[in-house]
Amino acid sequence: MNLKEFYLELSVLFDYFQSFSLLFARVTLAYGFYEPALTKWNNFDTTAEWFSSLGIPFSSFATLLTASVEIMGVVLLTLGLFTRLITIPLLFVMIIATLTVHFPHGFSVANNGFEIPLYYILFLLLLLSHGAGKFSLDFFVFGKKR
Amino acid sequence: MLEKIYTLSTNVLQYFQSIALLLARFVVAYGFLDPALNKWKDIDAVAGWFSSMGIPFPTLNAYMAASTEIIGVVLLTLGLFTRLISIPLMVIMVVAIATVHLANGFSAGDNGFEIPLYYILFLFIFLSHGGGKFSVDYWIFEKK
Repeated sequence: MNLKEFYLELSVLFDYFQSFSLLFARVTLAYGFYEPALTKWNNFDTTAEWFSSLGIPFSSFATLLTASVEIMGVVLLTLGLFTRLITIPLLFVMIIATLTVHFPHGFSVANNGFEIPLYYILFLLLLLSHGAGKFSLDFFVFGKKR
Repeated sequence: MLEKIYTLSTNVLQYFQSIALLLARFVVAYGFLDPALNKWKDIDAVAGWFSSMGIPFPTLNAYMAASTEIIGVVLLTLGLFTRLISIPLMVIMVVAIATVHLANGFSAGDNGFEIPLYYILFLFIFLSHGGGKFSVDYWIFEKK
């Protein structure tokens, strides 16, 4: 067996882990959004003032929207339901967070930089393009044939 | 109707898979660059640090970790042997969590295991999905 055949055989083997990797990424992302979402709901007015100080227009409405998207993200990412659809508003939330809060602080997480939001954006892009995998409600509702 | 829309959007979004994998590969490669360079700059200090954490054969393991990381930076950037290099990189991250980060809890602000966990998840995705179409792997192994 030459190197090329060996790598292809390995690839076939590793392909079996695809849905596991997507499941782990989904659950971890859901956990990551859980605290920010709860903090926004529990301190709604403070968050709205903070948004307003960042120059975000319609700050109360924006807070309601962000907090709703985040809490829905937690539920839907965990279940793997409408996974691709919910990643789009979550991407918006992370991009706006990066631009308004994190970007001026540079990359490193130690300075509250955009490192972690960037990782979230990448995970969300991966989920947007790959879907939730087999261990998801999406698979049972929409995708049994694929 | 809803099912039709979902299936259509699924087909469109599949074209973005390789782009998402490419971006993630670049970012993870960038993430390993600083730790790799720091280890090579002062390998004796790394060996001493490894030894203080109770890692056996600290000098050998310092060279192994530094080599894996710098090879990882190159291979992940090129997308060459993407699945294979993900395995030792995952081992390094697991050891890093066990020896350094786990005791500090989750949050990255406290030097917890948040970021190494994200790296393990990225690497697990690379291991199971490969490097995508924008990779040397694709040209060598998968292009017919």
